[in-house]
Amino acid sequence: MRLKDKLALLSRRGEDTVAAREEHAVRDQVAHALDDGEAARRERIARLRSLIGEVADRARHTGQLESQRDKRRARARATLPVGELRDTAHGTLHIVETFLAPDHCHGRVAVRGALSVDAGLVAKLALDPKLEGLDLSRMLLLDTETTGLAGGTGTVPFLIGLAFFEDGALKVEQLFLRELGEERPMLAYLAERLERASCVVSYNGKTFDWPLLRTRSILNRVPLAEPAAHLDLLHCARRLLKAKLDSVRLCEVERELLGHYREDDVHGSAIPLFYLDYLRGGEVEPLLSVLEHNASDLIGLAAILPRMVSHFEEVRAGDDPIDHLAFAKVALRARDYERAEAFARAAAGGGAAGALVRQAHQVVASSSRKRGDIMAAASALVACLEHTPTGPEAAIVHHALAKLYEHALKDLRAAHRHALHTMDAEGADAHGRRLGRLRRRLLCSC
Amino acid sequence: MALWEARDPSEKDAFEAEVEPPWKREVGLRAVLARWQASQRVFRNVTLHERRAGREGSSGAFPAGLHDGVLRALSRRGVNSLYTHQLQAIEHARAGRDVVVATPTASGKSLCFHVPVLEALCREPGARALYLFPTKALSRDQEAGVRDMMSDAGLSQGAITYDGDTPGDARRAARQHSGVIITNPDMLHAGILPHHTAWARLFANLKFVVIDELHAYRGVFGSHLANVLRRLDRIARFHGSRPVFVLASATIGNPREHAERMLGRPVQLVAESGAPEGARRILVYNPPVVNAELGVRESYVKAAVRLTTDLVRAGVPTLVFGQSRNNVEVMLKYLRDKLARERIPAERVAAYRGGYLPELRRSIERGLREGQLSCVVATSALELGIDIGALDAVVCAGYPGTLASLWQRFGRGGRRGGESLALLVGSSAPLDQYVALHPQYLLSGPVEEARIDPDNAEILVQHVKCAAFELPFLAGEAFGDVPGEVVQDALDYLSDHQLLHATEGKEGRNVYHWASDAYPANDVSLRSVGWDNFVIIDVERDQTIAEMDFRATHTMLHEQAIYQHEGEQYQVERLDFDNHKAFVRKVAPDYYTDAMTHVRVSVLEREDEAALGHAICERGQVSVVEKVVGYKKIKYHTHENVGYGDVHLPEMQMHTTSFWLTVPEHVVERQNAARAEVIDAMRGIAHVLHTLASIGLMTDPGDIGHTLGSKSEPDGAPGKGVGGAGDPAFDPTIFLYDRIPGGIGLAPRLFAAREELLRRARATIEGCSCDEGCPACTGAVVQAPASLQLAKRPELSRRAVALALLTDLAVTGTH
Repeated sequence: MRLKDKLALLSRRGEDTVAAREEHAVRDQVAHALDDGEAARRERIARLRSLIGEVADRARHTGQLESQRDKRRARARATLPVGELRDTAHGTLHIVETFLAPDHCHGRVAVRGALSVDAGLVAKLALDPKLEGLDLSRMLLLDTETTGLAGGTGTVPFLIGLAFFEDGALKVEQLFLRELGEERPMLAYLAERLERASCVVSYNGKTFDWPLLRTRSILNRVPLAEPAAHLDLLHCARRLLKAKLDSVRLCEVERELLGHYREDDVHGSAIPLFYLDYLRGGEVEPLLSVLEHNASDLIGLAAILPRMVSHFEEVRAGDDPIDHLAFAKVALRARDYERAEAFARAAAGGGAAGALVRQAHQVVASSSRKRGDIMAAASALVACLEHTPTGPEAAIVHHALAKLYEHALKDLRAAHRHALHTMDAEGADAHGRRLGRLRRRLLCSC
Repeated sequence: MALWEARDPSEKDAFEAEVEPPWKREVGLRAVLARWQASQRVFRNVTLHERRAGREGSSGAFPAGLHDGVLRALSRRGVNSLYTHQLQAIEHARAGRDVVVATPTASGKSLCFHVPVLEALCREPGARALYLFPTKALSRDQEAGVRDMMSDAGLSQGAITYDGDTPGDARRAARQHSGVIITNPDMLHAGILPHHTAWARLFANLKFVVIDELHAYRGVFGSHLANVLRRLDRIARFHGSRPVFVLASATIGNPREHAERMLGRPVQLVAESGAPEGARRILVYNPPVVNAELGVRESYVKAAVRLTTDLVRAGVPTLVFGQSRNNVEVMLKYLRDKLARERIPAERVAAYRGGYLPELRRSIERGLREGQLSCVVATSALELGIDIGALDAVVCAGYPGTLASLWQRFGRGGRRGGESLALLVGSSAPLDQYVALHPQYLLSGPVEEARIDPDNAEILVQHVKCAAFELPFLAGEAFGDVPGEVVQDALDYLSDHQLLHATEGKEGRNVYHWASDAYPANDVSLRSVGWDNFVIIDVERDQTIAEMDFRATHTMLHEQAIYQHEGEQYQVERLDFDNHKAFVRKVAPDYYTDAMTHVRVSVLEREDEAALGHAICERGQVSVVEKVVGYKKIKYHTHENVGYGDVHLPEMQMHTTSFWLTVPEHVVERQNAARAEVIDAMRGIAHVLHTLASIGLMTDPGDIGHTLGSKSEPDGAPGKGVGGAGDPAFDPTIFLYDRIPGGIGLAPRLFAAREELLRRARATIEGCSCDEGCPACTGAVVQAPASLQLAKRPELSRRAVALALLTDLAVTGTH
């Protein structure tokens, strides 16, 4: 709405408001200004501009923000000295390609292994049935570098790192944003790559990278189809390693699983600043280390996947019982009870400390129960009890045993024996009812 | 309050002898009024007795072509016709015209927006609507109502409240499926707009934006909201929608102007209510003078309780408004004590205020609607649109400060086909006494206007920043009604500070992108006062019994304070300031506590200076320190002051900008009045300046603070104590400061307009038709007791001394 109309409205309703005199004075001025609407508009603009000027002065005065006006644009911006520029239907694309040797290793593990992993096992590891039956040789590894971690519409991925297998070897493609506002060619390229891929593999991509890319696709009006499946290895790593590692950041996980140690890796929090500085005519060199970091993340992902799957495929005697237990729990959640039981038995027999063995026996019991082998479940619980000191935890095991013996195995005496110790697990009332019931039933059966 | 020990010996006889046995007593409002009038014990203190005739409602048939689903939803709630104002508002909204409805409380404003929204959802299942309420509590209150309407209309899209308390799963569902999103401006600003792509479905299909309680968005808060709406408009356009705005406001002086400033475009006004109104009796009761020598009046709290007891005893459903939470709890206790003597159970009376937990508030609202409660004592929390049905009597214990608010409170009462009572009991505060002694002011005084300044440069720049985060700006792009040239300056400023980065776009037009790793909405708070709450925990039951906002914590939850809750007393044992927790234990004291605060302004840096006549005007950075210095123990019923205690709490310090005006000591001395009178007159001038400043700056009076002090002695500033005759010589200074931390440029604008400001102040005082000063000029003055009045010469009134001082300072008026 133009100011002129607005002023007209203001003056029209002078009567119905019971305004203070001052307000009327303002309206009188406004009415005069109406005679020359354009002049009023200019006046408002001038007033607002001078007010904004004062805001700027005050900011300078109080030193809230340091103006960079003079420092800026001293140098012409350098171009990234790697990669090539490609003309696409959507504009110029800056792409950096890296071909890895077919036998490339990341730490101890060959990335090529990712080509031969079994999708069924991957689906179980990820607890995601959508991954089952996928052609994993067409996976697209994805990792972005962004102008910030805050999320929201103002965060821009300035580097989209992609990796995929071509003729048995891994190829890394990094799409670089030369200037803000030129995202369309890279997003369109990503969309093409996604179309050819069977699934996306990322590290925290479900929470961070993918929502961000979806946001960019909406903002830039480039259609981006949801991938058929998304394997986020952060979630897998968390399930397998949380008992062992304080942090499941990618570099820690690489160290643990691959024996890979990064040297001179750029710190994540510095990355946005490197890019924003570059945009404003700063140095380009720091960005090369960002590219390297990004490529390393992608290759690390490609290596972690086969490492995880191969150790999940079958029990390896040399593995840590903690790992066995973690795999057992994952298998249990994936309803692969045989695998769960096998890993849990390995964990229980690995000569580890009490708590771990206890949990392992519990997983054995749960898996056996699910398979319908009640006897095995009961004996696992009894074994569990042997490693459990008397107390609330033992009460829980007794509780499970009491139920098992009473309902599934119909052994009332055994049930009663365990029911004597279930108070801490089910509370005094339920405990009393259970004992009473068992005693009545025992009397009847005598 | 401590002075009320002088109890009128006749009081007991006058009121309690009157109590008749219940079986003899006539019930109903009419009987109570008749008794009051007949006894004269009440009516001799009534300064206003006004009867307002009732009014028939005017209504009409449903508009043609209303969707079946809407008709079904309406008929299920027994609505077979609509009031004329509802019809007008619905017609505007259906035709795509923005509309503001400003009709009295309980006139059925919510149907004005529900009907068009429901219809849009019925016709187009993908359609969306956004509802904004000023508080989280109100959003939750409205959610159930909206849902019921929707399901009655056969809609399955659902409505959801989206705020900081919404769990993650519900958030996802909200974004994808909800037809109606209910939220608050803060969440829209910091949680929705910066993530608008996740809300693409909402913004692409947004048909209506409903803003209820529009009058609550005044001053800085309102100016922020206007800018959030500029951003909303920009984002909606990006996603391809142009929503229609339906606004609802309580009665204010300028509803259309306020709405148009808020939206930056023309808005239709519907202000003529078609709802029927019952007859109303309006009474102003000024508690009698109980100590003629000192001019002390009976406590208004006790007077209000006494009158309310008469009403409740006669079975009249009554709502009592108190001035503060403490006040409300004290009245609750007194009422229950009094009624207990007549075997009226305590549960029939309840208190209602913001700090109560939601379930408790819901049950009180239900109790009021369904009649299990006879009386509720409430704070302003019940002013807002909460459905409690109509009550027979409303008692305001103390004048709420504005006519708009008083009528909002009175509007809670009203009966169809019968008469209702609206009763104001004046306190001894100057403003209340002015109103009580000039009661015509209530009937003919100007209803306050809501003022906002969406073009406040500080606020505007902040929101341009947030908007750039949401979508890049094109050079020359306008921002709502802000012309492109102005936006360009803001963009340049933000680019200079490396928040934005300009790139060359199509046709050589620059594009400004957000280029920082920060999330700007986090740095911009729409409200000057934080709203994270303290929780109050009963250590005996280990249970949270209430919540309290940060500011009130200092005065109500300091250690040793008596915290009153639902008529029970708790003592604060420990205040865990860092973790926002107060631990209380139930006690039964015969006193409550009243905190004493102290405000001090000290100059940190002077940035500009100019002489104005003989006065000196300056502006710069100041620190405003508010500190609770101690508390008084006040005995229940007698209101005796029975002790003091210290409080050790961190000061609430605020660094902000201020304008100040100093009158040199020699000018004070040469006045034809005592020093104390000159200081008092300066207090009056400060009052006028404050009023005029908020009008001139289009802001809410609450966004500006004023105090009288000394600029030279930062620690010796006497604050409230100014004017003590023994004060050593100092140059008295009036400070007018931004009450927003950091300041938002109000003070510099006052400095720039200082000459006009003083000229208008003089003209206002000179032109006022009052004798000694009134709320419209130098502020209300407590009438001195008759014995002292004789000695007082008219030329020594606050108003006269102020005028003389301004003349001496060589300030000329415009008259």
